[in-house]
Amino acid sequence: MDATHPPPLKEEKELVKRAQKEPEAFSELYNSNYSKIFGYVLKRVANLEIAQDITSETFLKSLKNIKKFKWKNIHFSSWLYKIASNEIANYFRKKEYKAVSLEKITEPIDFSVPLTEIIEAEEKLKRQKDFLELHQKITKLPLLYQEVIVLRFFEKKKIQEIAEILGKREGTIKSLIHRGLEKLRGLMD
Amino acid sequence: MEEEDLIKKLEKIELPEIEIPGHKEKLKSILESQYLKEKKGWEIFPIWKRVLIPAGTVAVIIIIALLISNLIFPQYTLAQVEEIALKNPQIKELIEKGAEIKDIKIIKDKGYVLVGPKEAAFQTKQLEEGALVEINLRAKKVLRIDKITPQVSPLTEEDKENVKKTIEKLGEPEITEIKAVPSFPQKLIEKDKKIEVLPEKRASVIYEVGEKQWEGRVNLQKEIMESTKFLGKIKE
Repeated sequence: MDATHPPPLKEEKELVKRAQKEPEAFSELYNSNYSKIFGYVLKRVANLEIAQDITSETFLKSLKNIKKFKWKNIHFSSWLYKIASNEIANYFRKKEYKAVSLEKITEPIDFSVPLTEIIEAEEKLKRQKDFLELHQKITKLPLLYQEVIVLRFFEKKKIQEIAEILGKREGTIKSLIHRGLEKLRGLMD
Repeated sequence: MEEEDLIKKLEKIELPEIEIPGHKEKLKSILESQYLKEKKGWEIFPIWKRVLIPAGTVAVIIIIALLISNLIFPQYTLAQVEEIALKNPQIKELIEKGAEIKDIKIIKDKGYVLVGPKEAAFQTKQLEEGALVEINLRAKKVLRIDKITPQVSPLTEEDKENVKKTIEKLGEPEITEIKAVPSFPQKLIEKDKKIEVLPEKRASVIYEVGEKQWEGRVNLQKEIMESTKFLGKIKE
């Protein structure tokens, strides 16, 4: 399955239904959504270690709650974005992050990632000077504005999608973006 | 900076895909093993859900039903009925005169109390009246008091035979007379959701044993001789 383009809603609905019974179907959902979620979290926190932890927590929480998931005719990824956004909010509020679900796993986990991969990713991130400069300003905004700006401009989400992710009206999202940009402009000057 | 310029700046930023393939793989394997663990919980939970949820629902329904039934038909006790009856001045007076409570019945929100004279078969001065009290239990109020007097219930041949059998237990008496005597009702019965006073059948029997004559009082409901009275020696 192409990771960048979600399957049509009808197909996805079936896949989610299967994921509530079969691990293979859940893996399919994971494969098609991992990069989106990791990318979104990284754009919000600009920290590779935290991004890995929040992504892990997001998927572990989605697994824990997949059985209760009710299809509302919106993409499964919107639900994952919502979980990730909540985790990011926790991180910003506490200025630290604890991957609770991950810590609860009693079996020994080998989460060691090849160092070369980390170094390579860090190098890539460091080179995004414009992004990092903007990110620094964005993180000074209240969380609500941070969310909408990252989703709209970095994740290239439509207003309707952002409204689905955040569970708000499209009009509210538009005014949040407008006010967020105004505040960001103030920080840029 | 103008808003348009800021939007352009934001839109221009194209972040290259930054990924850590090792993390993706490790997380995938963790999720796979955790899926199986979670699935076990999902499989166990529905069993409990099937048992506990209906049980919980039934419990809630029973509690609600009890609460409602208690509001519509509160659980009255015989003691409550007795207490209300005894507070009535007329009944109080009867009790002071030597009456006692014979029986109490409850039908829905009404209580019935039968008050009658204490048993004393051969007392010369015996109270000769009693009462049937009807009480509204919701209002805790006496609705009506009907006077009850001892009644004579005619004896059938069968009754007479029963009297003879009861007396013959004493030995070989010679029965000279059997007659019905006035008796005060001792019981209340419920018939078609109405209360009725159950008449008590009693008989007086004159019998002789040797040269002595006796009078016995037989309770035909209980088939026992309740009391005896020596009448005297038989004159030749």
